[in-house]
Amino acid sequence: MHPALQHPLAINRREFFSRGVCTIGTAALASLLAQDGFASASSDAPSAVGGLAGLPHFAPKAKRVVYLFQNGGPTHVELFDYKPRLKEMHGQPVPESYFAGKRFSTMTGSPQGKLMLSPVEPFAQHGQSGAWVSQFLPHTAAVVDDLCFIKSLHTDAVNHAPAISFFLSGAQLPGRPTLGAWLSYGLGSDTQDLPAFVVMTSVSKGTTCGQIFYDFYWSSGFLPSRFQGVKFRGSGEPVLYLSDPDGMSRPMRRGLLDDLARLNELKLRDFGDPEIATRIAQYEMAYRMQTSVPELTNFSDEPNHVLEMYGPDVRQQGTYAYNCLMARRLIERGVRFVQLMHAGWDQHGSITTELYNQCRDTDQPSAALVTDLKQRGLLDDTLVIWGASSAARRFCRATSTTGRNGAAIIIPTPSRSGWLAAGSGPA
Amino acid sequence: MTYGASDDLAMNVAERPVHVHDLQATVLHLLGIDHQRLTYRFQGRDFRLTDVHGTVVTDIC
Repeated sequence: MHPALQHPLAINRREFFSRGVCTIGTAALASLLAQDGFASASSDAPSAVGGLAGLPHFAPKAKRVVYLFQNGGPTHVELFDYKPRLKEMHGQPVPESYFAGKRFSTMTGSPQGKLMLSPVEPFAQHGQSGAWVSQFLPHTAAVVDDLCFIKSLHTDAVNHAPAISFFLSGAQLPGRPTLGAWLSYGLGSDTQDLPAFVVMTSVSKGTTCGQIFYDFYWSSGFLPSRFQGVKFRGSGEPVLYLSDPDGMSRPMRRGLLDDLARLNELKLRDFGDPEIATRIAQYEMAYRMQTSVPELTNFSDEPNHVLEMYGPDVRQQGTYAYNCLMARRLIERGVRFVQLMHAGWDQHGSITTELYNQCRDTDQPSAALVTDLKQRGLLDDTLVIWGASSAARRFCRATSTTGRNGAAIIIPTPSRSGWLAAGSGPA
Repeated sequence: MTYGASDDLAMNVAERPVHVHDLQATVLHLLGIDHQRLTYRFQGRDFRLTDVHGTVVTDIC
């Protein structure tokens, strides 16, 4: 007989009830003890829920991360990688030294025969650090002293999805755990009411070059699936079935979940499958999120000056500005890793039109997040990363003079906030 | 601050290159994690985010 069929037949009535009593009794005892404080963690235990023993390995500078992932390839030469020589060479062919004897992938394309492009908007130096930022990013320009620009990033990938996967998971093929999943696994969570790893996506208004957000960008890979990123929806309830249906009271929901958990615990004891443990934990998380998420998404406690700082889109769910404010609120509540993904940074032939829209939608909220975190003292131990997976190189495809081919990154360091890195990869 | 530089035409890296795995190692370092010691055993092998690569960019930590 097939083992899967044999298993239920092997349990007789007496065995079923003996197991049931034992499990229910143990669970009830555990919860009673915990309530009374007998079984609670000792006072010197870390505040994190879960996480590995022995971690962190050494004193961290940051405890949490907001990754502002700019999907596509923000053209660093238009934004913060100032190259005066591009202006001098505007309209001239790409110098032979850049392609002679070199091989280019089909996606990358050879620069041979292409014309050089001057930056569209003027650049200026900002702050005490004198960082170069173009007029595309006036708000970012105002916070440059809190940022660290990395202008020498390089990657192995030549196309968007593999490059994003490489950045987030270390492998170009889907299937590996992503950064947020590794951190949730290693460090655990500072909250029991929200997932350790939250993902939110957005698309610029009127953009025509959006990229698809694949689930493997926040995958837990081969780690237990409770470390996977939980994606909040951009419209309606951020999490499905957040509200109980009519007629379902909270005690009734609680009772149902308790019964379900006991049945799942039986199965877990029999099979030891970590996915069952994940299922139990996720039901509990979902129950707590029914309370924590409505509170999280209610901006009525935000002062007007804070809302204004993030810009006019902040009240509109699903926008980048809304997500940036949500990121701060998530971080405040103990979420370990917030991954915002914003589509549309793929302006091959629309630098002079869509890059303006893209920067209008993202520049102010990104800078506001840094400022807001700083004002609350959260920037001291929060790492904010602004970046993408591939770079835009400085020539036009074909004969148009409005396009770029190609990426960039900000990563604030703690205390002085961060760093901003310009990718110079081959994509 | 600014770290590294691209060449005159921003085509390639000119100074102090940072590979994707270096960035990942650096992010983990900032969170108090040695990227070589955060591993998970799967199908007989200890996997890590940075595979067999990655150098922490200590100048920006």
